[in-house]
Amino acid sequence: MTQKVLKRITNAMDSDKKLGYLLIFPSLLVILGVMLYPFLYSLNMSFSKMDFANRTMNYIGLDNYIRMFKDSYFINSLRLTGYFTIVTVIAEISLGIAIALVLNQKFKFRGFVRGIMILPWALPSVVNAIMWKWIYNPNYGALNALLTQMHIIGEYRDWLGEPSSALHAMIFANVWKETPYVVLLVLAALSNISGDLYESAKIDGANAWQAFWKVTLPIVKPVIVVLAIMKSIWAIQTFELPYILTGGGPGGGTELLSFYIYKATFKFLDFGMGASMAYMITLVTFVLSLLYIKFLSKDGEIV
Amino acid sequence: MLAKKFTLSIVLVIFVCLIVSGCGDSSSSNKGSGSSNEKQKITVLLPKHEMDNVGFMEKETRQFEKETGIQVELINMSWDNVADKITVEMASNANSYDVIELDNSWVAKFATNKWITPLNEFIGSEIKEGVLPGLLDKFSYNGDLYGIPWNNDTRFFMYNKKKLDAAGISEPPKTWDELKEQSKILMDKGLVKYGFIDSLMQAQSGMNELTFMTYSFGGNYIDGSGQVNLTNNAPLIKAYEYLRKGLNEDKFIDPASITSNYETVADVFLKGDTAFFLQAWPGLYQTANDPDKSKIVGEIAVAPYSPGVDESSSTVLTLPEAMAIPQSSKNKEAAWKYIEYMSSKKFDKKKAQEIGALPIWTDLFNDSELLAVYPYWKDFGKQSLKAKGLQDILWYDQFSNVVQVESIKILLGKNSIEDGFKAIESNVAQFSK
Repeated sequence: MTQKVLKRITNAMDSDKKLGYLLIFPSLLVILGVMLYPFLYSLNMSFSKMDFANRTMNYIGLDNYIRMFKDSYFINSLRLTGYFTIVTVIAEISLGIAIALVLNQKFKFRGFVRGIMILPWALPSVVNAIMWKWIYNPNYGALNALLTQMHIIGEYRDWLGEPSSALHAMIFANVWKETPYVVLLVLAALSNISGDLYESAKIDGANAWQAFWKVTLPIVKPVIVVLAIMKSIWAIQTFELPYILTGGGPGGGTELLSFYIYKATFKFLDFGMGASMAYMITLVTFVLSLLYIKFLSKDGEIV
Repeated sequence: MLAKKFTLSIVLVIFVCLIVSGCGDSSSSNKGSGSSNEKQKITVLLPKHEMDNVGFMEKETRQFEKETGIQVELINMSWDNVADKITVEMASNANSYDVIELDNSWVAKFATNKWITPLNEFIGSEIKEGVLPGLLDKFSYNGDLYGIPWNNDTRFFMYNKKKLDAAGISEPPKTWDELKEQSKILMDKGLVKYGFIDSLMQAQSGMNELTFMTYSFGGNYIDGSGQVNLTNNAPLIKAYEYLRKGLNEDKFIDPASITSNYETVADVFLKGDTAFFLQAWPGLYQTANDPDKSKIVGEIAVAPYSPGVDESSSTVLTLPEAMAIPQSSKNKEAAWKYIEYMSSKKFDKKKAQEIGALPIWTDLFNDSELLAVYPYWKDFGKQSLKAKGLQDILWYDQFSNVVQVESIKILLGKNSIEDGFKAIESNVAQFSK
């Protein structure tokens, strides 16, 4: 009996194609279970209202999506997330390229400096947020002490006490942590550029600035495009900084989208609207990725 | 080739068998294990008591196990983590826990959603008559009791007596005007940086402080019909004016209040940079006298009152926490035994003696043994008479969020009080219907 079953399975695997399907079947089951099912379940949730007392989900059509756009706090978080994303991505990539160009030069202790450079990125996000919370502390923070001793400010300030300064303080904390990753990837790309290219450019009369624009940048461009996409997605999903550093305050001035979704879902128990907002993030991320690719690459292709 | 395929097919068959057996009904493997001799096991999820630095709850839980034979898995986390875990647990109707934290602001929501078990059939007359009535009321909804308090977290007005003496101030302020005057005297004499710092950060601690301020100015965000009514609400306008001027014009309130939580406020007070702690938790008195944690050892005192517009509006905030049994628990009897043990008068007294936690039993406030150890509890008792809890409404979390966000805009001067109040009303209107 067992032999017959095994023979049948062996026969079924006669072609490589069939064998391939059979082998990926278990992985497919897992993927369907942990990705597709929750994806569809939350999509259903975004069109429903949860009734906790009766344990039911009532279909309400697009009501959650309509409510979402009427919610001034959601619109505010969307605006803040957009600003946060644009500023952090531009700052991180510009700074990252500049630092990478410096670290690509030959100088004493270069290896050591490169090693130190990566440290902020190696810090867990939560630790980074807690660390900056202490640095910005209005009464005993290191930033106030430093700036006062350098006579840049006259008295201690509450850096997180104003919506605008809090948002920028949060952006700074994010840029500090995320820039090394850009440095790392750009350095890797720079190390692949042959010195002959720069020599040819020099013979053709190009100065350092022109060599950067005409030789370096086109070669590292694919890496920059990938970085811009990845960084945008990560920035849109930023959660730990508002959660730990500011609590979304003051006055909702740092309430980024991910944090507001968490509040709507788990604090207000509005699972329907939470799901619809999460789909909004997915959509925005998708559209942004397409835009970046179109804008930064020639003929719509990254090569 | 055939041998390779044969091996692969065997691996595949084993894999499928494993999946099928894993997905099978696990109860079948436990058949026969449900005998009466088996130890009952319950899982308890509670935040750590802020004064329990000696593992008191853990030790007593093990004692409970010895006495009853019921095995207990005690999970302690920060309040925020516990809140998140319980919300997900309740919403998904899972049954991981048998005893859970019930915060005073959750009662309406948890009871309406039928997430927790009414305890009416469990409690005896001793608890009904002996536990502080205000505490039991806080955990009752529509006539049913849902939680037994385990943490009488009432806040008290404390001050730095040594600094007041040095400034020639004979008694702590009774009114908000006196608080401002005394703060300015202390600041002018260089004894403090600010009169006080408040925890107004955009978080529940900020909402607690705003609620306390509005109560002690004789107001409330919620009117008698359970609606948010701020238009022409004179006491509320006065409370916000006082805070706004204190932060920006008179500058006797530390501007860092906008981003401070309870820990920050305690830190500043314990360093001696402020003189007043408006709503200190009971354990702060002991912390302030611990030389490892405080620079004001032997300097603080508890006032027999809390500041108000006048004596009638003087208020302290009570934020008690209770233990409740989820509807989904399969071990309700054992869970109740744990709650009963952990809230008994004997246990409550021991807890007060060992970690200084405030009792939940009325009698214990006059217990001579406890008063000998904690003489300042007499003043706690006087302030307790004016204790009030948070608003008991079904949409409390949304309401709290709106008040936190819009109030900071008012206090920072980004919005006028009138416009800010309108923003609170309009934002609250969408879910309070």
